[in-house]
Amino acid sequence: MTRPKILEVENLSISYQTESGLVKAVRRVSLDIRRQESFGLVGESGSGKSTLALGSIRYLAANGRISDGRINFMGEDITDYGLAKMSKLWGRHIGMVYQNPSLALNPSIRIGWQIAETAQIHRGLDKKAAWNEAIMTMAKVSMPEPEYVASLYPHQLSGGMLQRCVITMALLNNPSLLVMDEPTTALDVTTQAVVLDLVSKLKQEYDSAIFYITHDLAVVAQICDTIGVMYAGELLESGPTKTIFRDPRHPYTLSLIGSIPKFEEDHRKRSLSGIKGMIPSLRELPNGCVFSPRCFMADEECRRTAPTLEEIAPDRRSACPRWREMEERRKEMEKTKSYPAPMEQTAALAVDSLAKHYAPISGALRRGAGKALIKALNSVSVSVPKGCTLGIVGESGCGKTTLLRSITGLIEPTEGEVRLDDEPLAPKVTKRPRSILKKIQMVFQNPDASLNPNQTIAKCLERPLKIFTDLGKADRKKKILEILDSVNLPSTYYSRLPGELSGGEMQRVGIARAFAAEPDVILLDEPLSALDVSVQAALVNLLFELQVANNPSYLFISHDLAAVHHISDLIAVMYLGRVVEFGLAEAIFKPPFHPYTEALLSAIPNPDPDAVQTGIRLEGTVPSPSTIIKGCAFRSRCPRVYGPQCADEPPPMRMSAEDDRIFCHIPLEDLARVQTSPFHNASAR
Amino acid sequence: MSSNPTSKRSPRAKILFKRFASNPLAIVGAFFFFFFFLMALIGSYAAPYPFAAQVIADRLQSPSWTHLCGTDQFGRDVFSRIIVGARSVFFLGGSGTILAAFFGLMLGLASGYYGGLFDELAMRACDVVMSFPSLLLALVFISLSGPSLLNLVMIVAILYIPIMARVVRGMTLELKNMAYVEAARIRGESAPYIIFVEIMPNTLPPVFVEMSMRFSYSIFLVASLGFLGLGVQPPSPDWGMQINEARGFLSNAPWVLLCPATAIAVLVVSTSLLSDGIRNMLQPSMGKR
Repeated sequence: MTRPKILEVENLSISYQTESGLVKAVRRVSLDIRRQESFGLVGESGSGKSTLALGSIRYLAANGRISDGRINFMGEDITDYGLAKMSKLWGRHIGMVYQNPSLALNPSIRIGWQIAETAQIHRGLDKKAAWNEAIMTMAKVSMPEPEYVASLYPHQLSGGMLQRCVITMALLNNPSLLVMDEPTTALDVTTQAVVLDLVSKLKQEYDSAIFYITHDLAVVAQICDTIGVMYAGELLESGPTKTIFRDPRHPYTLSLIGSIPKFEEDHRKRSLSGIKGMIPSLRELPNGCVFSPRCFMADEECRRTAPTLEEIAPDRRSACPRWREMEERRKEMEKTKSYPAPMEQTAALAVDSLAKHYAPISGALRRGAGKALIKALNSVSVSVPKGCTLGIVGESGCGKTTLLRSITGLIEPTEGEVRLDDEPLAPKVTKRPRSILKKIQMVFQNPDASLNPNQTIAKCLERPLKIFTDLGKADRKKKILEILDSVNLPSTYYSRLPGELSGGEMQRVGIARAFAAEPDVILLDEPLSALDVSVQAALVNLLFELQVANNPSYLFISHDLAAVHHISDLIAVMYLGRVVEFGLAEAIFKPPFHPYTEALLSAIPNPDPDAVQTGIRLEGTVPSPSTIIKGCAFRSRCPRVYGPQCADEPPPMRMSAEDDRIFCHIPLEDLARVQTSPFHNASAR
Repeated sequence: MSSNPTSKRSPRAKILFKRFASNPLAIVGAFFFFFFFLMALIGSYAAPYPFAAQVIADRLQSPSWTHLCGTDQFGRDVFSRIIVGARSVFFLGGSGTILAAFFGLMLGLASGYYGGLFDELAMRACDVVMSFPSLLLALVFISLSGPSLLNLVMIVAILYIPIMARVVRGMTLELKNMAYVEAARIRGESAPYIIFVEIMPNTLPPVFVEMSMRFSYSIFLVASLGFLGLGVQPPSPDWGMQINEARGFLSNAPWVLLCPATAIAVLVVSTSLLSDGIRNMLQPSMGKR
């Protein structure tokens, strides 16, 4: 550890001047980042991680102010530097990568010139030299055909490629510090894997220190050497990645790690530890330790005196004075509750060769008539037995939402049918009788949008009861209070408006609404993805509890393979409107896999820093759903193309020994021979 | 906060009021707006002189303490005529705007929710109305149907329905894809329920904002029509008509023209300040300049 410190933040406090007063967004944070080191700052939304990162490079919004503390950058105190002096550092010695690459680039300037501009401004290179430098750097970040890409405009590139361009721009002047603010959050999991690989590679090739900000523990585990855990504006724990994951010394870190579903077979369908409550508002901070209101081990002392971050071992700091107890607590926490897999055979809901094709026609003048059809779904067949969970996983644009909407009848499928208890359903929701409508309910992705802001919680929950049951007014009120209790919301929420609730609470109401009329099938459209990790865990537990209590079937769609793996009994993997693999959850995650499943599995960041993953990466982008595909839809990106039949013939369905259906030309024995289990690290421990 | 347990919504009302009160321009706007509104209600009692009383001996008096805004060519008190004239401005502009808001709301909701051919026809019809300069359309309409109060209200409504409908249609298009609307459809709710219970309440704040803006434009329209002799007919006083009559002696008695013109300007400006205030109050994220 003799590498020089690039960034030293000492006792930094940052506050924002807002309409309703001063908000202390960051309080007394100290951290060091050394050369060639990558420091991961983890925290939930509202924890102040972006403020800290931007503040430490003096790039705060106009109403933000450093109220206390010092910042040293490359041995110089930059705390009081003016704009002119900082402008010389930004772009030259400090590179920045933002969350959304399409907003970080100017849509009307060619990529190459945008990148080259940094070198022109900061190093005085002429246009030609800067351009050449840009091309060279693009090649270094493994950009395919850099000269061609440089001549394009941002809208011509996919999100992953754009993010690589932004990284190139940040690296062009070989900065000492690279600040990355959630650089992969807006990307699909396979693209994220490519970008993360790139970041790990850059760590070795460049001298830069990396300041990496994310909410995703798994990402940090994969690429960072050191971690800082932030909560409500304070740093609660910091230390080397491996030791923090193996042996967390702050209850928040411990709970956070316990909140993410582990990718281990024996951990499936178990309760997650989660954290009660929600992150406090920065305007009303609790007394004593900021985490004490949500901490499982807080006592009177914690609520009275605010602890400070103390060195507990070389390079390890924790803000919990009771850090010695943590090891025992961890073992306690690992004892989680397991939920049995109910294995019924009769299908509650079956989808039979469902297809949805859109004609790209708009307006009364039928513009676009005659163009190729957009095939959102192509003969999808899946089914879910009573009381079981079917997880549907796939990247954006794979048709999973279209599938759910076709099942609800919100959109009318072009072909195929949906059967409930073996009875075919009318394709349109308006044609379905009330007795059928009662049986299928849905939980939506975005909790803000799923509740009407003008209706109280009571009104929102009362409506399904009024429609689907013959309860009287008093009984309905009683039932609403019961439902609120079953989703762990206090009865005082009865007359609240959604605007007064947090995201997690709103999602609970959304779940309560779906459960109100006791349906047989609940469609869950990415119900967790808009929420923070600790809140997700509590909702996963809630979904388990409600399933045990009411025995509904779940159709759970998500892009998060780890979450799907954790809660599902059956899994279907979708790609470009097709099911490529469908079977029991334990079978899906054992070889043989469909090559796409294999790629997904090796792309998900593992929250275990010791994990060894197969390095299959998908290049290119998902083809447009209007492309006419004769053979296998995955062929254009498949790392294991078998032969000409992949392009010419639709793949056959192959049934594995464990009833796992795989749609692939490659014989299953051949697949099984070359593929390895994603759990091999787990079994090695 | 509030000690009164029945006022459950008071926190929200309080927040709105606080937000409005923190905007000094909006307060100034509200003050003048309500001054004129009060005059519209009680003007004929509050006026110092009867608005039609002619005192030939006191013709074209300059402003003084006896006649705040002087007198006109017939010796009528200009101030009294302005005060009483506020009534026609508020009546025509106000009822026209309210009618426009109602019909625009219905048209916009239906158009946005059902879409298709109905939407296409309705929106093209709106385009046709909006493609004429509003004063021209008003002139044609009034000269064909006569300058009755009902016709004046109708033309204000006709001119502003398309604008209201467009605002509401845009909101509806966005709202009908919200998850809570989909949840209602999955429950099998009827279209009227979805439109009036799930969608409409969420379109109201922008409708209120648009109404206050439309009202300030309608003051102009009513005054212009009055100026052209197509507004409220004599003997009822009307600001536009006052200006028209005063044109002849602008050089020797400018107050006869300037005072009603100032009244128009003050009311228009105060109404737009008020509408800015309402917008900031109801949609704080928008309207920041």
